[in-house]
Amino acid sequence: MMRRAPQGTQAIQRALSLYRSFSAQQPEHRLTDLAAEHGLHPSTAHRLLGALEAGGLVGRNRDTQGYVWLPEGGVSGGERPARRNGMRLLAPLVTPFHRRTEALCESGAWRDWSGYACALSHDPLPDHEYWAVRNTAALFDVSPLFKVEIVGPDSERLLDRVMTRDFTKCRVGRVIYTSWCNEDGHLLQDGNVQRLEPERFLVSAAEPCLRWFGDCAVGMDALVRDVSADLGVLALQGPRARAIAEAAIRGVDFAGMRYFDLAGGELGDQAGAGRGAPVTVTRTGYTGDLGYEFWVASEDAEALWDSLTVAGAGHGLRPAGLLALDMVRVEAGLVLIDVDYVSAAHAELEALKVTPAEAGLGFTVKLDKEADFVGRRALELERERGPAWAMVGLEVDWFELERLWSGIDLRPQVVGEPASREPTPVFVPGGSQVGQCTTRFFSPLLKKYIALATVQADVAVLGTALEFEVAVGYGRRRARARVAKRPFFLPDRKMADGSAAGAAG
Amino acid sequence: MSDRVAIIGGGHNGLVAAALLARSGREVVVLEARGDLGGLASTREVIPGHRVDLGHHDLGMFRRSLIDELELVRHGLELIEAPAVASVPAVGDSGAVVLWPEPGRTADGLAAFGSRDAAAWPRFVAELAARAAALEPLLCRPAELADMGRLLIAPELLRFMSAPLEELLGEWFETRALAAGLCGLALPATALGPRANGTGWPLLYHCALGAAERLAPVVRARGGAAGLTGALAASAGASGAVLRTGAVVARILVNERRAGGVQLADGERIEAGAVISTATPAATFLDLIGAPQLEPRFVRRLQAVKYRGTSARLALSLDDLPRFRGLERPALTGRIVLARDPDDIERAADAAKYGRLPERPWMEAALPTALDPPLAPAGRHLLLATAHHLPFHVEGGWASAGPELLDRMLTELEGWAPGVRGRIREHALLLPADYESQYRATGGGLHHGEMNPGQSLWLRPTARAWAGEPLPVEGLWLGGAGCHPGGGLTGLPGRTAAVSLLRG
Repeated sequence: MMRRAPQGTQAIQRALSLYRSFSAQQPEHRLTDLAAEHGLHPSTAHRLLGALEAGGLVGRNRDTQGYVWLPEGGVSGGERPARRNGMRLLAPLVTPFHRRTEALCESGAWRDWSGYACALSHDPLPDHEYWAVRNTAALFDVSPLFKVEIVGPDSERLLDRVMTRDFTKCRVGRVIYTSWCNEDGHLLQDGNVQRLEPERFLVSAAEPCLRWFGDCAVGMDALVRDVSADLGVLALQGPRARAIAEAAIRGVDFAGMRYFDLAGGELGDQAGAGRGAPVTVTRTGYTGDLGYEFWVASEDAEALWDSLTVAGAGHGLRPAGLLALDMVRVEAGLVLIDVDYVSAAHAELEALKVTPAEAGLGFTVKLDKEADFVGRRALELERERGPAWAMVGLEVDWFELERLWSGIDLRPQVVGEPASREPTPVFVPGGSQVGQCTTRFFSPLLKKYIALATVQADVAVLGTALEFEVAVGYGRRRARARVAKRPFFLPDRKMADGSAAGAAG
Repeated sequence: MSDRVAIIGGGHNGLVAAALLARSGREVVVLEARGDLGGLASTREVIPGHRVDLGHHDLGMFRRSLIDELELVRHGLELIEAPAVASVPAVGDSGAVVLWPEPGRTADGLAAFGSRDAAAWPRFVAELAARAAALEPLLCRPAELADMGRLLIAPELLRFMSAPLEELLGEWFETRALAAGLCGLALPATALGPRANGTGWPLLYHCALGAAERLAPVVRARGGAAGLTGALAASAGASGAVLRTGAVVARILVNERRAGGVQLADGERIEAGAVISTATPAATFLDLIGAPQLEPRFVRRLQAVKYRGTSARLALSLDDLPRFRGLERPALTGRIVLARDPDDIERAADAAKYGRLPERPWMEAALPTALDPPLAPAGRHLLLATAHHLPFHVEGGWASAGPELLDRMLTELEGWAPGVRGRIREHALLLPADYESQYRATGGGLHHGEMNPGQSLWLRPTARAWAGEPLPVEGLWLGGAGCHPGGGLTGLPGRTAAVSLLRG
């Protein structure tokens, strides 16, 4: 990460002495104070601090403009950087696995995910990581998820009020995938909820939700608390995930864990000094494959990483980044907030808001549940009327791609490309626009160009012929597609019980 | 479904609604938590033998049409109009200012301060009356969108609503005591000082509902505020309304977003096809229904309402009328504003902002026995001194701040009316916290929601709607001062609730 070191040893010494001014007791300093304290010209101090900032050793407090200490390799508490006009106002935060992922990140390609620096891929290209998910196993750092804990006698009641699914039926030791809506039944987010104890739940979501849950909790005896920075999360995904997990984690019956089960265990001997640290395991993931997610206290994060990578050495385990994740999740037919649907929390136009059904999440809406959950009335009306839009899978076969590119004498320029998030129009054949395609990519596994698209409900029928726009050279062409089943790829091992999944792996 | 209407709260608005509905043949039950009716317009013997008004007691804004419609005179209401509207006693070299209902009489008195203010006064009252007249129709019915258009094309009115009162008055008058007197009319029960934006609004409100061309004269009921609420209760009772006291409503029963009655604290359930709540919007929805039954955005709106602007009332039994400097007896019948300058009020507001007691509290004093001697035993007089701009959450708590406030109020009173301390025989003090605990006035505010432009007209709930959206519970009407048009003894929120309910 160190981009540019100042010339000469004097600069290094000065930078070190500046860095030593920070401590847990005094984590923030003003530039002018530091310069005066060290007898430096402010512009010199600014340059040196800039190098420390580029190195991830200090950050900036966007309110005071002061320099703040980032404990080495650790996650600084809480605050995520605000971005304005695409400008980052604070150095990226790092996840509790950063020292491990950084050492493995040969590509040097990082992307901001909710303020955290995350590897796009570890290899220069994501291909091996993609194939690892389907053939061996891959390890994803998904710590930037927002994590909110809900505790108290009314915690079940609160979730039952906020969420579209029925939380009276959620047992301890289970995870529920659910949507939540605003008062008009428009989708705010989707995410997983773990029931850790009778009166303790953990919500994980891609975007902030603390304020919303807090608003819904007025008058209830439930504490809503952000624990995002307290937890490190790894997703171990792929056919060999069980074998690796069994070797790394003690006290969990992996063969007995069903899809969306939750269990508590501890780190095994591979964790070294971290042996015995508690870990929560969920049989969940965002890849559509067999897999588990591991939730640990931030201070145990590296021990978790070490135990899984040591255990995975003989199984072809690879650290994987966001590009591979984005590819496999499309094959799995999983939607991504603000890519495949716009959250009603920040939709700039009323027309951009969708209901869960319109985002392909209709199965999460339980109108037969007892609670009067937020948005229920609007969703009941929608059920009578039918949703206006539908989320569908589209697929284009190889011969169609060859036809399109033959016009410019090239082979189809789609192979080996990461998933594209640039929205493109979807048409009825030869006719008008009926929707938009939000994510698309050529699946190396399925040998097909696949896409997620939002289309008018009347054309969302399996097998319907549609067209969507692709860029061929500098031209825009319409590719003949058809509405396909989602998920595009659904291996038995994803949801199968222990013995069968083991066989499949 | 029951035909009964359950009315929560036996204050003047609840009683107005009860009387109107009962006269229309509806079965009505009024549920008052306290042992007597009246709410914030109660008269009680907090000093033995003295009938002390504990909250509002000025009927200047009460709708005259209701007096006729509900036959309140036949039911015992007797109105007394005070000869004076307001006064500021003399202090230092400055003479006393007395505002009379007759502009010419006031101007004559102002001549002592120089010709400019005396000449400006009749023009000021005429302008105020013109603006108030434009506003009055908007206050007497639920505000509609067309009204907003009417306001927007009346820039002078809009400016009077939104500008700081001190600035507005400074454009007319030089005499600070005169400005203080007008601020004293406008600014009881708000947290805003006269230099805050929006403080012209309460003066306008007061004048619009209270005969602006005569500068909102003081009108009292014989026997104190209970003279009004007693007549309302008698009128409602005569039409068949059941008035229950000691009936503490614990819950509004809501099923499928429809109110079906209420449950009392002792467990008794009262079925009703309609419920009118005269409690504050916060108390009605957050306490009696509960946030979990409401949409989050509605809860957010409820939580955004400011109930700040609290007061303390000191009742003193004196063995003679106090001698306020420079005020003759007729001037003692109106509101006596104890502030030398708008800055006195501003400083009190400053202190309250930070949770502190004002060093020198400004007060609004009244001498009810000057108009209605039998309120006190023979040989005694009642002085009600109300300190405004007090912090609800006071530094150190009211247990220690209460005695301190009493001391400061008495010190100030002695300065305004030398010798008054020596005449005190008995006293009683009602603190901001008492208004909340005893009268369920959220945050201790006497207006069920501060009277500022941001919480008025379209932005104040009305019987069935709020900011253009219907209330989220069917069969529930709001009828208290937290509704349009707002606080004070107007009878309008209660009437609006009854009319809306009868219209169905």
